[in-house]
Amino acid sequence: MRLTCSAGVLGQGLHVVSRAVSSRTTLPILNNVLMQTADNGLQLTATNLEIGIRQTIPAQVQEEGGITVPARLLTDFVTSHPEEPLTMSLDKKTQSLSLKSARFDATIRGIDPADFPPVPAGVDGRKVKVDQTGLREAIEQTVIAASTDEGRPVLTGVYVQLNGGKATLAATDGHRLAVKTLAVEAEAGETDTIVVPARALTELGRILKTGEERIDVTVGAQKNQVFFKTGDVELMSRLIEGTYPNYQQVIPAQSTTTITTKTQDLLFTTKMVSLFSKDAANVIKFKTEGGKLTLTANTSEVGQNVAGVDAKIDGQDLQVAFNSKYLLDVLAILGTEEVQLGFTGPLNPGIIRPVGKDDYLYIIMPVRVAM
Amino acid sequence: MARVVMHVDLDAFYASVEQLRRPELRGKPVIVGGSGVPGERGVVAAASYEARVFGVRSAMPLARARRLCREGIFVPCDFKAYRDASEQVFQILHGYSPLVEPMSLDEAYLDLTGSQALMGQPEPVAVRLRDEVKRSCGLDLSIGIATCKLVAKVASELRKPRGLVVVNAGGEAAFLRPLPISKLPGCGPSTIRRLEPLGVGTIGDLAALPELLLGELFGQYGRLLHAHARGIDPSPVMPPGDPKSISREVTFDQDVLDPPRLRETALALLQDVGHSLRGHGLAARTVAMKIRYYPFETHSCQATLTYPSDRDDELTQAFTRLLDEHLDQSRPVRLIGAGVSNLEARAVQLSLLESRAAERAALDDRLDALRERYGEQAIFRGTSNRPQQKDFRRDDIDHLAAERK
Repeated sequence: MRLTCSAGVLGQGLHVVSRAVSSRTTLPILNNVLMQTADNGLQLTATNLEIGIRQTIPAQVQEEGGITVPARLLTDFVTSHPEEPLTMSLDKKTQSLSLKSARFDATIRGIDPADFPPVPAGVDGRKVKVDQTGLREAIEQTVIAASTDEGRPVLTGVYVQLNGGKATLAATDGHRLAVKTLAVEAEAGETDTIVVPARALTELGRILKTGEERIDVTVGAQKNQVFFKTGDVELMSRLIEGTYPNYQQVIPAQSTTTITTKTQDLLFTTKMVSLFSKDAANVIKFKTEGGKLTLTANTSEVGQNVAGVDAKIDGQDLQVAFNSKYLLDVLAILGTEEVQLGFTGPLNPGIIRPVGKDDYLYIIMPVRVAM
Repeated sequence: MARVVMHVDLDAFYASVEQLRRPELRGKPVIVGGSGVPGERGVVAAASYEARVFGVRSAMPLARARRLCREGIFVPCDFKAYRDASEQVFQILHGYSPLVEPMSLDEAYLDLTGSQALMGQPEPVAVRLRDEVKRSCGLDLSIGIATCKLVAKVASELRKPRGLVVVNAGGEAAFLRPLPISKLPGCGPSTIRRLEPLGVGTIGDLAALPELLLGELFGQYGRLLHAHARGIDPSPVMPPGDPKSISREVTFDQDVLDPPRLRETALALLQDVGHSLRGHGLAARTVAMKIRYYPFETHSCQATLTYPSDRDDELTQAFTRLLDEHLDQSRPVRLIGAGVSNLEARAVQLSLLESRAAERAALDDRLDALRERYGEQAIFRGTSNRPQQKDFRRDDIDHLAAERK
């Protein structure tokens, strides 16, 4: 293996794929990035066995071959390196990679690529195309609600239902639920349901660019893998097995109190008020009375903060408490000027929607406190 | 400087409230209790002074009250009305001292220490307070003033109704000396039974017993009795705050060797604890049980919950395990208690996927609302029978933060 490429381009590529490098692993080779020569340049691959990311960067290949080297060291070296050509060559006997430039002559010891776990270059299966901007927004709006508790693996994923030209993404950690619908390009009558790890989607979200360009999504025929391809980057993820809970039944059909207000104003006020409940499970209380909305947080040891919010209120007076984190998460990614909140009492789920859009909803379960 | 503690006790409170809002009952023997039907089971919650002449007393079965007082007018309890009236009275009390410790709807301690320059001497203050309550609320009350809570309480009981008794500093022991021991708070029938053979009839007799002997007979409680009999009670007047622990215990008149009955009684007490816990907006991490076997051997044990809880079902589950593990079924029990500690502000994140939690919490709230409206004894869960009031003396203990300091 022998090739020359730009240090800057290689640095960007390593930055993308190293997101899949395992941070803690018992398998040392998973700390490495796989570098292989390809038809049109150098292919970089990393995996943590759950997800894999591959990117091909332009390079002048003089001799084919491949090697795995520690991702961290290579990335640090390359991204600190001046923006100039870098020549790499492999000494197969010692499995060490030499990197040469005008001023540097470095050698990194690697591990034989034959030991690297296979990361498929694509799978056969159901294919759909999705708009990048739309998918990025959908990911941002749903992964926040996914669980991080491995105790119930299915909830660490995002439940994706494909139904003709529409995909519905849903995520819940048992305390809140996010549901987003977006248009996809698929063959008519196609239906499918899969659970994609939220972590994989978060990484995909980082890779996706804003733009008209579409992304190819393939669900493996075995229904244990999903494969995303955009330009020269590919991301694959295993799927989570298990039955996703029937989330539809927790979506309230109607509300007895609705509050409409400016998203940024509510976000700012919630942040300010919740400073006072950091030590008290982040509990923040909402109270509507006489057409006014008041937010309160208090901790007996800390103190309290009470704030009024300009809002349009319909329906019954209400007092309800939430974990402010759940509220801040959704307000930060709602993307509309106004937000509508609907409630039916202090023990029932509340519903949050972006005003003017009907493709998203967020359900939040209250905290039972003394009012 | 000696403390000035005032004990205020409304006279025949429930009955007076009834007479106040129904003028036709004034001057008549009014007996409040149960559903107001003397043929039904239930006990007298309050009797007007006109009824007391016939020997009708609180906690007496209604049927017995009927036999004693043929012309008695029986009225059902209306806790909402009593609560409202009590609130009015307490508003007045707060005008006399910043330190008001409510003991029940009709009873409170006020600390007047150091307020003479502002308010005047205790006795005229007491007269003003009594007149103001009569004028604004139409209710009579009795007042005791002393240097400690215990003596003030004994003093207020002494000349009911409309009594005013002042015990000066240094005169406490002499004031208590001639009174029968039944007048000493905390001295119940079984304590009296155990003291009688020693020739103790008056509080003075009790004060004369060596502390060591009382300690041997009653343990910790014996030393407390010794101090109380001499008019010594350093406990401060404490306005209600967030408690550090909440417990309820009962002392049976007769020792009980009946595990199902002990269990029912304890679980009823625990529900009472749960009610108070929810009333404070708190949740508990620890559930505790206290048992005193005959003659005076006390055991305590506790269990820690996975998550803080204020729900009857979760507290009961933990308590039942304690009972199963620690109750010695072969020994007669003199006292049983249930309590919670490690309290924190209630903040239970409800689940979207497990909806029963909200339903169970709603059930507790509904039961609490019924108790607030119809009284503590109004409703209990199926696992526990209504405790018979005449069986035991119930002690309510909300340990306050200050007590720990």
